[in-house]
Amino acid sequence: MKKTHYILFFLLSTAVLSWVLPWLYSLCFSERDREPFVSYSPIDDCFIVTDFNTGSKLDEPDIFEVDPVTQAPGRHYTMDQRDSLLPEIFVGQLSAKGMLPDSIKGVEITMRDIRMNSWIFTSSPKDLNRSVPTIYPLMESMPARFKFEDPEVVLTMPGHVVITDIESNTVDETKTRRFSKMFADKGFSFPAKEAVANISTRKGYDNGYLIIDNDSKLYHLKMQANRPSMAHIQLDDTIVPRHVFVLENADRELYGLISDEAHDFYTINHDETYSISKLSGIKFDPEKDRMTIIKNLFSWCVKIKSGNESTWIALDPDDYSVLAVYNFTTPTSMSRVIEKWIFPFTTSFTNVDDKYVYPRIKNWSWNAFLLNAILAVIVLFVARGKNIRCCIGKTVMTLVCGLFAFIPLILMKYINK
Amino acid sequence: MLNEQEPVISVKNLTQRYGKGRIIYSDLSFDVPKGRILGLLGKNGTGKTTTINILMGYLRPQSGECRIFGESITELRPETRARIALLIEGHVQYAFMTIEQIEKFYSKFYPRWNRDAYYELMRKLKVSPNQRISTMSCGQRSQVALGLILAQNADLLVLDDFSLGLDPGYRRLFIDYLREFAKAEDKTVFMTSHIIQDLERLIDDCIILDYGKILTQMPVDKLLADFGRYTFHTDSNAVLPEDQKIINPGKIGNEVELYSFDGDDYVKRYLETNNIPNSDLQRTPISLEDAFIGLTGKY
Amino acid sequence: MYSSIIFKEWLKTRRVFFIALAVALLVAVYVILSTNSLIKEHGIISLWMSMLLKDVSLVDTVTYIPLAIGLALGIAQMVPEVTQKRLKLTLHLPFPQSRLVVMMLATGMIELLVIYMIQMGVILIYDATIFHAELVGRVFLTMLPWYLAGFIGYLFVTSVCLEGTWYMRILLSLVGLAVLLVMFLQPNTMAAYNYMIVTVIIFICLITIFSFGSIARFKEGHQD
Repeated sequence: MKKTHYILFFLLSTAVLSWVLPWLYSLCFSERDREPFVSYSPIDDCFIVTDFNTGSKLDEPDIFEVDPVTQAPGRHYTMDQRDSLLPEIFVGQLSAKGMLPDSIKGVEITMRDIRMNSWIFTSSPKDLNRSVPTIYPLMESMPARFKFEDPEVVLTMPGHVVITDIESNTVDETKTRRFSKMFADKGFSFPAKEAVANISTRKGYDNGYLIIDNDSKLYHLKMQANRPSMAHIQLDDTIVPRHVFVLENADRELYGLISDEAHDFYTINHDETYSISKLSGIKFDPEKDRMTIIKNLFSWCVKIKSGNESTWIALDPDDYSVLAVYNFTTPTSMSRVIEKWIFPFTTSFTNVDDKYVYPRIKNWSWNAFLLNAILAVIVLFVARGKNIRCCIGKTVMTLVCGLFAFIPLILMKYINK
Repeated sequence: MLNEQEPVISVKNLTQRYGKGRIIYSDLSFDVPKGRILGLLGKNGTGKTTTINILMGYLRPQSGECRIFGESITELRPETRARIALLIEGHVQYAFMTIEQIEKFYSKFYPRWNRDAYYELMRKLKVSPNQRISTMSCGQRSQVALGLILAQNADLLVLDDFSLGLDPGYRRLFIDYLREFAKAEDKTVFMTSHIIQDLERLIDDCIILDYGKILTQMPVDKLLADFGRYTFHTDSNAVLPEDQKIINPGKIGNEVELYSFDGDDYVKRYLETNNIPNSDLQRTPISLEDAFIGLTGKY
Repeated sequence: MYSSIIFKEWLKTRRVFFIALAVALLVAVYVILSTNSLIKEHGIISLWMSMLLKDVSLVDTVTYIPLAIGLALGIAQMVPEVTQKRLKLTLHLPFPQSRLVVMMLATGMIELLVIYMIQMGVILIYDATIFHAELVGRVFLTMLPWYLAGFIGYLFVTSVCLEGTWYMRILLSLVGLAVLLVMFLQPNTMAAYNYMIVTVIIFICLITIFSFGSIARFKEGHQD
């Protein structure tokens, strides 16, 4: 029992230290890298980069344009110059200074035009990698008083449709019947893999739900006048939707976006046929990558951040062809480099990319093997002459786990004193 | 199974240190025969409680072997433990229990439980059956602990410094009850105490420990008969020469005191051989406490 | 003998048990009353939406209560056992020692389980009357790690109490503290510990070894 106790205590201490030490280290030495602000200029037809790391001061960043082909830095700008090059982003500042142009690329613009045709979409792995209820509130898409109200019923699709009245927490038989019939008529295959909507009363209109069924067919569902309105969105056989995103933007151009199994990205266009368009040059895994789309009258500026790599892709808003690409790699900080020489791996229980807590071992580093070897020699020296199996066990553990095993071994040396 | 001749407690070559430092004792060996009351005596720090802790399995000795009822103390079966009553230093018991609760608790563990023996003693204490032990005086607690030991009706009683914190009345009460019980029921008792005078009335045999060794192990009667304290007057200022059989000689002014197991003749010869002028040489009767001091010295 | 051991453990813990039960029930009643007041103020629909869309569990008040109860019960049970080295009395009982430790821990854990189940039961039964079963399940999964943390706290505190040396007590406490920190990394994200529940339950079974280890060390004489 005592031996098991010691071994368990040693292993647990090692595991705890592999979490605590890197955490304390990053708490003490982490350096924050500011990513550049990158946006596509419809004036210059190239990316304008605002780099906060290389500028002399935080409020005097280095601003330069990027060659659309070579990605090489071009002319440098002041902040005022930059604002003029990005009128659809700095519309407020330009308007206040009376510098908002009347037209861009021959198209007359007003502040209202810019605002009505601009929207931002963001997707973070944390939003998808979390436990979500499979209870879907159903909004009335055509409210009688033209004002959205909180949903009064929820939809669940375990193996069939159930509509539950929230107020009474009981099944709404009438609606359940109506919706069940609609789902059956449309050939819906239970259970749903994903159902997404924007449940909010503060929006201009309601696009309802985009639902991926068990056969990966895509459906569009709304509740209008307490009755279901459902459409099967036809997709090419090559598109197997994995995640969908509902958009309810003021320009009413899109129902939503699709990310498929091949990590391609599509728009569901707001037309009778639910036509689909592919965004060129975009590979995006919503479960791992972060995406920001800044859309305006003249371009879609799509940013995909995957690990240390960030890619900005400017797309033509009409045919989604690529206008320009800019890549940026966040440099590895000095503290991170040193960390790799100290810790052979790190354990964490949380991650910025999800909302779960469970142990994950990452950041394996061969560089730390040198320190591990030195510590293992010390352990071998201290434990010499003892039980050979115990001696080998301690040395191997130190060789693999380095400091995380070394510290408990040293501390435990004194527990029987 | 233990036969009648085998000792109840058998300790062989016991060696124990404080951590990895000072030796408490080395190669300590003794036996406690059945039906005897043995007192382990020694000054503070000679290892009395350590010995009891080792015997009861609360301390692993550095080396040596201890057996109780023929079983190694590291593997005492529960049935064997049921035959051993233990009194912890300070009469420690489950203080959160009442008199009634503690009797109820222990009674389930011991097949020969004698409820009447416990309650007879408790009646004399004049405490309510619902009184918690934590609210009792040290003397009352000692009686509860004694009552439990009597009720357990064990074959071996191990008592660690039963006199600690007790006033003379309770000490006397404890000893009287214990002696009557042990003798009537032919029990074996192994005990320690720092108040030696109490033990004279109680113990049959004694082991006197000094730092690191046993000074003597013998029946108390024999010790008091054989071990003599001698006093005499001398005008000499010379230091008394060392002699293996002359124990702890001491001189205050012109009065000398020494001890010996070897009788009047040997002491006289010692004084003559060493030309120590003396007058008024006397062997004075001694108590167990005197014998203890004589053997271990005053310092 | 079994009943006697349970009797002893009960005598030590009954006061803390009833206080803890009262606190647990008061907190449960507070959760119910505050939920009721939210319903009166904002309506039940608003509460459903908060739970569905904003990860609101409505039971945040409970978060650290099971841990506090676990620690208190562990202390109440083991401190009388170790003061004046009373553990010697317990270990001297004519009863297999490993079974004795199992009985002691089992009594404590069953008492905790009773308190936890009553508290959780009161909250979940109330929730079931106003929320969808799946939401009630999510509240359960959100609260479950807090109760498991209570068991972890209990087991660490018992092993710390039973341990005889301050050095090892400090080491055990530090490791226990780190483990408990893990259990509260995202206390208010609903069902965040779903992937870890089974691991934590296995872990709880494993760390009972620490109490056995502390007693084994006590018997070897590792005592300050």
